[in-house]
Amino acid sequence: MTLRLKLFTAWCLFLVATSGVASYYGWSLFADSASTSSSSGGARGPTHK
Amino acid sequence: MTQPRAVTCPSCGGSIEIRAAGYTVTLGCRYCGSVLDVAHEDVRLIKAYRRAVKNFAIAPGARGTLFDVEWEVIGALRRRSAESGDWQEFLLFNPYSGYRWLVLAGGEWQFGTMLLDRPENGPRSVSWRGGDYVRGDSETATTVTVLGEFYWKIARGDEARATAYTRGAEVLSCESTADETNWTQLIPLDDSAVSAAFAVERKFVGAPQRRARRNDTDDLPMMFLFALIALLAVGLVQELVSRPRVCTESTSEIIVGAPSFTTRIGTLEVRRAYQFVTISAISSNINNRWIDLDYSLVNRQTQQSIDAYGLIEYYTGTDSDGPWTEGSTSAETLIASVPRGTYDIYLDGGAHGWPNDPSVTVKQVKPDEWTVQTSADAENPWAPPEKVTVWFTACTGGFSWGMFWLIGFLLFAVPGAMLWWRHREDD
Repeated sequence: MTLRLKLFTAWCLFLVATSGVASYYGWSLFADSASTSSSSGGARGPTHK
Repeated sequence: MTQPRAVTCPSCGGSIEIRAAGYTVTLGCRYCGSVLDVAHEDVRLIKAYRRAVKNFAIAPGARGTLFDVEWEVIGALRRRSAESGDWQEFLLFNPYSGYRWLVLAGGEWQFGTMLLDRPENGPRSVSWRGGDYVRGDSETATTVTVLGEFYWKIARGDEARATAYTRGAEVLSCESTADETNWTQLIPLDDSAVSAAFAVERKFVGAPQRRARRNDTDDLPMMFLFALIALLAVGLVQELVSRPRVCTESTSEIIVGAPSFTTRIGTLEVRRAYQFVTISAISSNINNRWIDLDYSLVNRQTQQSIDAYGLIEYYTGTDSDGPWTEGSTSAETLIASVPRGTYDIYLDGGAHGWPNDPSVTVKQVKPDEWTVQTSADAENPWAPPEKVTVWFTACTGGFSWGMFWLIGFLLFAVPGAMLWWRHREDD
């Protein structure tokens, strides 16, 4: 195993561990918490055209 | 040296010197990098490439003295095999001595002379001029980059079957293609001898750098494999670590066009210090409608509220391109970092129509009782109001797809960037 592969393996383990800690504490960059509601106004509709 | 001949590059108009006039078939333009076939009088353009020179240890045109003969580097090749990685070959020319090869592989230099007399084949070795050479591994060598002049037609992607026969440090290399077989004697050359003879690029001087480059090829597939395994592990870890999963379910009917109303979906208990809460909402009977879903998780003990927002919208129609649909009849809302406690989940929901809300009339018949009438159907003003049914499932735990794909990007970015860099060098 090359030094570069060892470093990359460490990077992979770091990301897996980070994911585990984030999940354990229920933390996400992409949560919908505290999103702004649009029910107070503003019409919606299809946007593809 | 022979009298050079000049040709004009049809790609950039630059004037290019042919040093081995009469022998050279393929020529690389030093100004724009195009590869030209000079066997034709009109100098046909074969293929363009860029940034080729800086990827070679010695630039074509360089002159140097080896074994008391002044050589000029007239061509350079980068070749590759799955077993050995990348290496470079330089075609040397002297009008009195002919052609020779200078090979840089694994940080080590070799001087190559083409054999005019073929070795005699044995079962596992060959014999040449009284010496026995032991057969080594065979590999398929692919030409990756072509630069300069050659006395045969050559192009990127050309393949040859190469077998090495060794006798001490001396090697006989046998390369076979469909058309011919060539033997070359390779003898080791000291790094300092080559550096003294030619202007070798600094980044190619010394073995460690070259060995590192060989590793580019060797460990990149493993890096992709490790990234894939790590991504699967991330998914598994997210799924398992975010547990325990406790759910509550509820169903609500929402009148389209009516003012939003508040209802309680259910109660959830978060048993860990912090946990995700996921609320899924599914509606099966909406079309050209959207439903605003404002959730509030109210802690029974502290009365503190955590708010989140979901949206279901689904539209259909027909235009000049035919029928179309947009949106989804379901929505999942992920609420992060919900502290330990018991929570009542409230919904403040409202449904709306597109392009217009149905016209509804809300009347208060008693202090705590309201009636809603719709006038969407002009022929039947007393028709019941349109309602959409929404099924809610609120659970502790959850899976953040955003985090999953972000980590996936960070995992694959490293080997992906290396792969891109390698191909960039090859172009």
